[in-house]
Amino acid sequence: MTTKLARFAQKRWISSTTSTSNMYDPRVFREPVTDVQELRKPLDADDERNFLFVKALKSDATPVFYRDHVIDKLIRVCTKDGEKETSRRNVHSALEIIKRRQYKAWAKASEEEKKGIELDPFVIAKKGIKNCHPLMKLQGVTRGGTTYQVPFPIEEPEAEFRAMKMMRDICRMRSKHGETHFKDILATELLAASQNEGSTIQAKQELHKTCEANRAYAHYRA
Amino acid sequence: MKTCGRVFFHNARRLAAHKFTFTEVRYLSAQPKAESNIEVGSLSEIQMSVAKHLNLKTHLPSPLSKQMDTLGELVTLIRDPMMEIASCMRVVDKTLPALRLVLWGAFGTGKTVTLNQAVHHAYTNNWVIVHLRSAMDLTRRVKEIEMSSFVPGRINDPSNAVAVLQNFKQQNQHVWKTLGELFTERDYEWSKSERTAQGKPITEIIEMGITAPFLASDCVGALFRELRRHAKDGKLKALVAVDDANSLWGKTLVKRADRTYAPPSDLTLVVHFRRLIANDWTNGCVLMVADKKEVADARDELGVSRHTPLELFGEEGFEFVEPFLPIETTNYTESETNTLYDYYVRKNWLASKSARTEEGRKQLMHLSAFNPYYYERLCAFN
Amino acid sequence: MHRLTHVTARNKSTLADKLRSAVGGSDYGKTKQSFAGGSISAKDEQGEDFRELYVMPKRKLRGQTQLEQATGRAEYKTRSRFDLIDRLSERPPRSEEMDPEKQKWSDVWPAARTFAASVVPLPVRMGSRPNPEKRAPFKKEGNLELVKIPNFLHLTPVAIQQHCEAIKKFCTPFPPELLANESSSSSILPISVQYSTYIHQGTNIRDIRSRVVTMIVHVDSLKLSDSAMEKFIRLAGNRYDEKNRKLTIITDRCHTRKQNLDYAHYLLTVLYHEANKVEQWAEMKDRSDNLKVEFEGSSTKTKLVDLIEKAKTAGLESDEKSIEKFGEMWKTYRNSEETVEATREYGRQMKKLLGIN
Repeated sequence: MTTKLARFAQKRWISSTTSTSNMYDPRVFREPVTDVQELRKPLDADDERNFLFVKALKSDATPVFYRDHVIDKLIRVCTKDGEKETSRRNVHSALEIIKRRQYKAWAKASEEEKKGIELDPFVIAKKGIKNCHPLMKLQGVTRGGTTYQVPFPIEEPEAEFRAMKMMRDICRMRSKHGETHFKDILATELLAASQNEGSTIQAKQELHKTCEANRAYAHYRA
Repeated sequence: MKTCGRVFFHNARRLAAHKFTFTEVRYLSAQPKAESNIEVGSLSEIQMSVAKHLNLKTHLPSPLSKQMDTLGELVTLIRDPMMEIASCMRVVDKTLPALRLVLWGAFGTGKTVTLNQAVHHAYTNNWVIVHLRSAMDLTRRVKEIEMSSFVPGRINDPSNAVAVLQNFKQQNQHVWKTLGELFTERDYEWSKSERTAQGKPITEIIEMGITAPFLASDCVGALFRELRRHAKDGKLKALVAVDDANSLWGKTLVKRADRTYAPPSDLTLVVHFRRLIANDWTNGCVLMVADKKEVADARDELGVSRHTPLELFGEEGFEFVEPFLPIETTNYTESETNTLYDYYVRKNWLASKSARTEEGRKQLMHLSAFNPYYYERLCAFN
Repeated sequence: MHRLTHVTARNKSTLADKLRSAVGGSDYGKTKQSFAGGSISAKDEQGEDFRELYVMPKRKLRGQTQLEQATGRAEYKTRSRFDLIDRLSERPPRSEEMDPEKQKWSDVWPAARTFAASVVPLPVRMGSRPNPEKRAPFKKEGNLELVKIPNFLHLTPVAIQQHCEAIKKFCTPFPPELLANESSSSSILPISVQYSTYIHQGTNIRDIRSRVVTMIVHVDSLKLSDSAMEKFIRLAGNRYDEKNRKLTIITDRCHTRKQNLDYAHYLLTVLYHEANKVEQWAEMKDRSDNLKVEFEGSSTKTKLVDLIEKAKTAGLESDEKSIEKFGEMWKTYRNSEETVEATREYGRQMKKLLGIN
């Protein structure tokens, strides 16, 4: 019981701090340099980092060769209860599973077919996420005491986030009872999405349909 | 989780890394009596048929057996510990008591893989193989228990005993004929109805155990006894490979009637394996792995347990296995990682572009801190 | 005390005039006439005095003066403080007069005393304030924080040296033999006693910590037999340091230092005699009861000797002589904390012993 409580508190459930105010005083702290190439060059003479403090490097900003914007974002989206390490393991395992499946198919395939098979799991995952980007979003707007689901256009980063969130929710729902693992389902889902199949793509299309149906409300966009 | 890592090595610590652009894969199994052909730092392939025969899929650490499944081949790196084991196996003789070797090393440095390589080596030399996947299975993963009728107070473990016998049968098909020509020393009376008479082939004991699980534990003892006797007579050479051997002196999860935990010395199978480890027999080699998982506690986040033999075996176990030869497995050297990197590139296993660059090669090396397990894990998703 | 040296400031005030005339009686009308004579006739037909219309006071207003001063038409008047003489009659703080080059500080501050801002010529500042970035700590004058804390201004290196010089005639030189040969000190002076005396300013000269006595004994000088030594080590527990073979007894349970010292001696005596006693059950001591694991007579040695013999017949070039060396290594290996390097050494020696390349 106590350990549960301790873990509960550890994950900052009750924390009221927002992400905008953190331990770093914005007056004296500046962002660190994360790119290795840039790190080797000397700082500009008028760069404030010459005389101010630099924030500690974030654990997911280390300059490793497999650093990838989409994968990092996917890891962040899939994080639950602040356990990013677990989430990272899950997503990387999903990548491994994708690669193993593709590799097996590749090994079996003939010479011409081999060219068509993508082995890089990062490319597949990125393509899968890209295919899931919705074009619009639905947002509740209250007019005259009634809430209408109004279609709104969205920017690229938000579309990416919504694609990942849809995928994550679907994977979580399916892996609920521990029969299958999150990583397995995520791998399947990413692979399917890269070929424009799978439940996430379906969910996206459903969303588009609803948007189309609700286009009459479009004038409620304030 | 199994300790993992691929075992690899290098012969030319002083050679520049880039000279290993292509390393020849040697087929060990194609050349019996191949001790002299093992080369430190070279990749060696174990043929899939042999791997299946030796049931390596269950004996290898899970990442490596997965890799075997994906790549459709089992290629491991021959490293120094394997060479030491091979040279020790070469001196095994009819007059020499069973040599005892203890593999020890940090997590992921390739203890289990070296053990499996040694098993394969024994296979190529037509030795009899007694291979235990993990001694922890005997003490902590006991599904059903029976009280022994042979020695009062002993606890039999039919399911594990059958598994041991089946595994023995599968792994020794290459010498099955020889085993069939070796005869029992005395009458074994398993129960009122079942008995094995003197002068019957010892394979009959195995068959008896497999068909009658309630006799299996005693059959294991009888089999080991006969093996030791025949090894002493010079009719066979035996390799006893026990993974996590320090668990034979560890703690158990077997409960007795009074709800206390039974000490490992009360478990029949543990006693039989201990007798096999004792060097009162000749013409054999006992290879043990001292593994940290016996003493490490997953819930203890602060404590770091040692991975050295005395610490792991405990005083009692240590005194039992002495005199032994400790063989250390270590992290990769740079040229070893290069050999492996080249192999992965050649097999197209490193799929991402960034991993195939020079920068990627260096980062793989240093991110894994030269630890074989983490090196493999990093390569797995790139 | 007030001195009315500057009361002339309001001399031109009409109110003051009236007051003056009221006090002076008949003089009043005169001055009034002479005052008003120039401009308008003083009385009207009814014989009443001319009552001037009050517009503004006749003196210069402060605003006017300031304006004139600012434009340079009037001069600034500087006035000395009203209590200037009082202030001049008081002596300035001593610290300002002091010349640190010539002044002997130990004469100014010979003994422990509370901090006095006027005496200490240091620009000391102390105190917490709400906004440390904006404000410096408070200065020493009238600073209670500086008064509260203990100071050691009387214990300057020079003052200590002076004290030492003064008491030198009571001291004898340290034995030069001991200085020359440090190792002999353990045999000549096997017992050393440590305690601390505390001084601090304040009304109480006692300190609770001064009662603690630490006694260090070189155990070799006790000349114990082997069995007695073992018993001694067991009795002493963690008070015995195996590395430098010293026994450390710390006593602090009595109230005075003397009592504690006596108690430490008592403990040492009891330990010594208890260690020398041989009880009946001591004879039942087993091999496994030893303090250390011994190689001689261990099962490992018998097994090893047996193995080497057999290895010889098997044709290995085993090295029989190195078994003693191995034994030493084995003993340290078993009796100290196991390290990775120790295990490697074990492997090397074992290989050599068995003659496996």
